[in-house]
Amino acid sequence: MQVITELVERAKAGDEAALSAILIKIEPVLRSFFISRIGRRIDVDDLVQNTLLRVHRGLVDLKDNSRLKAFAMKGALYELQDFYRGRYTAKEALYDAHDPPEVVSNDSRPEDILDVEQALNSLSPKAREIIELREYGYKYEEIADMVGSTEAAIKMQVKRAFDRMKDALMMFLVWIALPASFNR
Amino acid sequence: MEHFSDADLVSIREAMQNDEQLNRAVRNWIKVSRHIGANIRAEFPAEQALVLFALRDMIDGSDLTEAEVDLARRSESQFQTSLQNHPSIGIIVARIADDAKEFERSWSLSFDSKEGNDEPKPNPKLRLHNRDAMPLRSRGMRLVRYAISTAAVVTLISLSILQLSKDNQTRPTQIATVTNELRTVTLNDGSTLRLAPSSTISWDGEFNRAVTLTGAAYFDVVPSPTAFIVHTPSGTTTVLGTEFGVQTVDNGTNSAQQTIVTLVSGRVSLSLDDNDPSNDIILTPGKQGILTLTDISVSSVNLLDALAWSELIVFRDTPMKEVKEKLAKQFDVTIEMSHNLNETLLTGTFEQDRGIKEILDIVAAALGATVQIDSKSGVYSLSK
Repeated sequence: MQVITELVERAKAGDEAALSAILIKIEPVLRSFFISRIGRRIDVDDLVQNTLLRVHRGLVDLKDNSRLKAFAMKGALYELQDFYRGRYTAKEALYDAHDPPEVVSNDSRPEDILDVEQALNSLSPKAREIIELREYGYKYEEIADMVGSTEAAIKMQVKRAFDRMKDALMMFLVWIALPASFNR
Repeated sequence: MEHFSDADLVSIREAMQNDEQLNRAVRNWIKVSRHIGANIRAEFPAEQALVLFALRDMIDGSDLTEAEVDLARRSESQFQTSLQNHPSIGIIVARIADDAKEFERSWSLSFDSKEGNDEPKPNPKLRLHNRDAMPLRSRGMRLVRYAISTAAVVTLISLSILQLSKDNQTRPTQIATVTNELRTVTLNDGSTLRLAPSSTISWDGEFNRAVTLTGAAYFDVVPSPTAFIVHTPSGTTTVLGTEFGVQTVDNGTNSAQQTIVTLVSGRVSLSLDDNDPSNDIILTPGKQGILTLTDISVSSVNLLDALAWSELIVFRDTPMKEVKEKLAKQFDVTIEMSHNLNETLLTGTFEQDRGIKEILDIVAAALGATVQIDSKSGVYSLSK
């Protein structure tokens, strides 16, 4: 590590060769780290490159030359969080397990006035937690890992939540339909 | 749409077109999901703030830019509100801390074996219960979801910001947990301790294998010629290398103070008076010593029950038949096991927060067995 510390000193002093040596040394660390977190995906290349860029640009701000590990780790974690939060934005949020899009609604239906907050209240705290994590950008497999469960169990929780919401919706529809029946 | 094939999607769309109720429910689900997503974007702390908070024990002020210190300070009040409204933030913070440990592992693999390292190395032990050294993929920080209560986070934010701003080399070291917080600490000699909620461990100056404990902690002490000493209000526990739990009980008066030491492996010496070894008691595995200010009593205990407070699952030469029953009961799952494993003895210490799947993976690896889960019934099968 003494070697790395010396390289950092030289890189901060403007030695391009030292900077390149640092980046070459930490590139496999970053690749190994990102693969361990998100698997062997094309995204790994982007995450590695972006983190190296952070190190390149930010090295001058490193106060303690012996702390390159902490510095690189911070950059890698920033990149990983950016990745998670941007994971579904290119699509359209998260509904992959439940979202069959392109079903057109062209009239105003009773359920459209169902208060979102009311629907939210039908979610159990655990289900809401899972949906939040999913919306944040984690996959069900990752969420299972985070909460000590299995992917199947997590998906089952989501399905139950969906069913409860569906039931709540039906209750609502019956409720608004009843007065009309009585009036007839 | 990553979970569905094109054919699946066609089927789902057809089902929605043919089932008005399903159509409505799905549209409502999407609406609610979007609402939750919008709340997250509006109310969650920035990603960088989450990272800084998760790294509070791994980085110090010199690792941060002024902008990052400023961000940590500005995020403080938002954290308090956000966590109250969104407990999932605690899970994310724990996940990031786990990411950091994974990064350190990757770094160690690349550097520590090749060059001298002037940074702290992770605990080099490879033991069944040592999460830092476990080669398995998933790490068990999940309990932090429960451990990071709102109060804990508020306190820790304040502490962490203070830590980021101060030089901590010259102060006495004190590590404390708050209500509902359970924390694993790796000491400089490689020993680890699992600090129970509302507990404090401290030592003066440089760490020299002597600590003072209030509350409770589970110690895993690495062997060394230098004794490891735990001071408690009613006595002293001295060890060379072993696993044991220590609880201090304070009922309000000096005469009611107790220290309860439960030994898992190795040997420990219990002493009421450091200057008078004549009354010292040597504890053997499976025994529990209770120290009051005037007396030491020893009894045999069931380790699993005696150490329940540590949220550890402890097996010592336990037949697998019994292991299976205890795990099934603990996690409320069904475990099937081939008969040839019934009498196989298992020794291991597991953190509950690893979850049943990971624990069974570890057990299976240790026994050379395989574990499978039926995705429909959720039944685990262990066979060899």
